[in-house]
Amino acid sequence: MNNLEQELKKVLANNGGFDVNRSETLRKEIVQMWFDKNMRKTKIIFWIFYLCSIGMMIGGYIGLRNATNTVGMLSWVLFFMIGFNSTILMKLWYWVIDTKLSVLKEMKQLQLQIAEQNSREQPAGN
Amino acid sequence: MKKSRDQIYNELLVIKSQQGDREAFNELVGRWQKRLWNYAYRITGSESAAWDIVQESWHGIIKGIRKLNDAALFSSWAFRIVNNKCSDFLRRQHRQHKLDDELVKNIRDESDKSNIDNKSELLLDAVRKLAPERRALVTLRYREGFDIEQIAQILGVPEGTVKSRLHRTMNQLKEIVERKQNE
Repeated sequence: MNNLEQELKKVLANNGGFDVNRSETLRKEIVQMWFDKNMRKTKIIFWIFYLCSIGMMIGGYIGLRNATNTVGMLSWVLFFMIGFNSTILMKLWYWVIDTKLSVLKEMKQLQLQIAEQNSREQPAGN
Repeated sequence: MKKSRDQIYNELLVIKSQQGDREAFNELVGRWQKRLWNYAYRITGSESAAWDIVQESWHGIIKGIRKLNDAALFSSWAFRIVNNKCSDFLRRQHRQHKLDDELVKNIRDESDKSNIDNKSELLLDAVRKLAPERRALVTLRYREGFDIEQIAQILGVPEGTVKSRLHRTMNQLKEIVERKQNE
């Protein structure tokens, strides 16, 4: 690295009037917004789909009971099954995503422990 | 490439945030806010604009964080969002000269406070004279310490373009500083 690059690093690190108080206020706002909007939105979407699926199951069951011919009965069974499978698929999808993130989290925690171990051992070795 | 403890911890915070961990997200915001603000400030030259851009950028990050497949890409992804917001801001405003004047004022005020020597002041002045996209390049490389590949991802240009632009920018900076020193 030449002199200009080193000098550039130095001056760029020195400059900037960052307002810590404003940063803290913004941080609280952002975290609240993330929790309120994002997390709540996900839950609302989940429940809408879940209730729709249960509605399909109930509708299918009522239709099946009132059906007079075989084609009608089969159609209502199909309708019921779509609703039933939707609830299973939603839970499965949620489980897959959550498991994937949990595995990744465990891996990162392990990597972190190894990195910490290495950083503790390095000064002792020197 | 071996990752540092800090990088791994950051990735862990991203994953926890994706899972909905409030504390982890709070820490993530705390870790990145200053860096993102500094970058926005350097590109726009205005403190208030930098705050607005950071706020808008966090909105974007909140929307997309669950879709981020690789937690290691968080830094370049977040900077890319800020970079896009800065470009939008500069396009909207069409008043770069006015902002540059504000930046000069800010830089002078700060350099007076922190006793930056004359050469440093000249260099900052030279950085100010660069076009916004070149300021972005210099900031990402020498303040944030991103490598060429990451800068290419953030700016959305090929790596070769980043290398050549960086080379040209450094030559330009050198020229400006030498010219000023001779004046």
